[in-house]
Amino acid sequence: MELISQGAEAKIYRTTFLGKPVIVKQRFKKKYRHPQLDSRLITRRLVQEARSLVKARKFSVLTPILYQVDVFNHSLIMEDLGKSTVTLKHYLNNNQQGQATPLLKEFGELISKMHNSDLIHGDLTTSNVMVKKMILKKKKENEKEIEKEIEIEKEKEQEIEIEEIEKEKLVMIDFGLSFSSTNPEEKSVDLYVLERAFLSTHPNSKQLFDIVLKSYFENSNNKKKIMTRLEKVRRRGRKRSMVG
Amino acid sequence: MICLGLEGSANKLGVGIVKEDGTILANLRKTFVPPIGEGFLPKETASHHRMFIIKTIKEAFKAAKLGPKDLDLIAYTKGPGMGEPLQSVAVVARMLHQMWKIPIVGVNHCVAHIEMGRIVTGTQNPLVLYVSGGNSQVIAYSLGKYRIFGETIDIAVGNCLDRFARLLDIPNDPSPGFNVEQLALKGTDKLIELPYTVKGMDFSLSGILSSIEKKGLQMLKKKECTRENLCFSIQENVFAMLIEISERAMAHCEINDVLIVGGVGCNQRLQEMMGIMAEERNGSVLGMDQRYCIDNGAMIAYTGILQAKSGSTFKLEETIVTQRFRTDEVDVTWRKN
Repeated sequence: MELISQGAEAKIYRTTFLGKPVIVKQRFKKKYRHPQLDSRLITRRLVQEARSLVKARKFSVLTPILYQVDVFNHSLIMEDLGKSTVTLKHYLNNNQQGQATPLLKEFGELISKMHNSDLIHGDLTTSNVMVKKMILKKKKENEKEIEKEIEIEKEKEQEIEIEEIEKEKLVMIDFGLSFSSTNPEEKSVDLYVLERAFLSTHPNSKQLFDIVLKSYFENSNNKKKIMTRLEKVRRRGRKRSMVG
Repeated sequence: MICLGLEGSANKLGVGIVKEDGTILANLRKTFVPPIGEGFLPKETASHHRMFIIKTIKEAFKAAKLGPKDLDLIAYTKGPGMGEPLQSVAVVARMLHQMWKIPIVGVNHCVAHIEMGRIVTGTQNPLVLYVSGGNSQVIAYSLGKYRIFGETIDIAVGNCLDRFARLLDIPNDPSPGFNVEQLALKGTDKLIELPYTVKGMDFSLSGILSSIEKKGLQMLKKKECTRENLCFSIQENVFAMLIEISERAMAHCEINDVLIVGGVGCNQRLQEMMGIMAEERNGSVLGMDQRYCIDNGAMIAYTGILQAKSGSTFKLEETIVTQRFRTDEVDVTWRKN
């Protein structure tokens, strides 16, 4: 197993599993936490992440395919998105705004898909969205075009009238803090966390976040309530009585 | 340059006299302690400050062996904080400025905590965890401002601990937080499960208080746990949340040293936990002692000097106070990127 990165909570390894290239995400114990609290949190996050990785796909949100959950070793074995896949954060730092706009719109759409189905990500940042190059094949069938997503490694099909386009698609990751909620407050807090992450990671980037937000509201099934709540949550920071 | 600093944004009245190089010539504090089971309210707090400020200033001069003619600057807390107490102290600052004809400058309380931390520990650019009765923020310096990377979504840590203390009739003298800490040391035999809520780099504490009110008090009544256990549990839970968001911010900003400021920073267990986390990242937690963690006048004086030297002092009309004054509103003109 090759250790490819270490975050605050988990180590990420690259290896193979049943012949497929995979990533192993292993959460480690935190020595500063009381052992009871530590194990409770690690297990909870492991289980929540596993559940949400699978759930999100039902709502047409791409996530890495989950292959195995190992509760004893606190690890998840999932699809390796490939060495050329980068975080949205990295993409934004290395590309022009114009190029990033369609991805930012897609990001807003993805969040709204999750929220519309009451899935709260809990830790939305540009480091938790991956940009993956995929080949999309358009197949003409009954005069309608159907898009079928196939990974870059798969072989070509020899069939009727196929058009291949290379497209960058977003894949959501890091669902450790996710949960289900119908509450507009939780959804607006989810957006607020992203807004703050955006502004602190990419300063002078308010327009970037605005593109995401606009796309989000265009696709949201509870636009008014969430928008109002978001305003309230934003003002809480500024209005807080900071005594002491 | 020598500066007199006046602080009174909450229940601590602080008077400090500081030299330009950071030498503290005097640092006196008088704390307003409300009766058990009560919090401090603006009216009584302002009254307390008015009662003791002149006397304390005189004592400060005595301790520093100086007089008004030795002063080059007066600094006071412009905000954030409680309206009446802030105002009581500002009035005195304005009066002295006019009486002694010494320049005056208003300082942001949170920034003052940070600058005091930096000069006392000698660190240049740590991640700052500012935790007190009124504030809980994770701050890092970036592009001319102290930016808030993570903070509480509802109440501050100190406020949560103070209200918890009130629920359990824990005494307020010398401070509720201190007494909770002492009780916690004796309660390590049982950890009670409490809500743990981290959202990105922010966190929420109101759920914990409700849980204590419902579940915790019930358990106490039924003798399923002791007060000490509850103190231990609330600390372990809340502090773990603070360490987690600090760690995220450190990973994000690529900083490995962390500084804890604000009254809650006095807590030894918090310092210990932060130290464990920092060490795992090959960094360190910088220790502050209670003279400077808790609100004090010296930090106001020192920050006043930094402001005056790199910018300008205030005209009389500008010497206002404000209850709301975000840390990231201040232009940190004395630091270059």
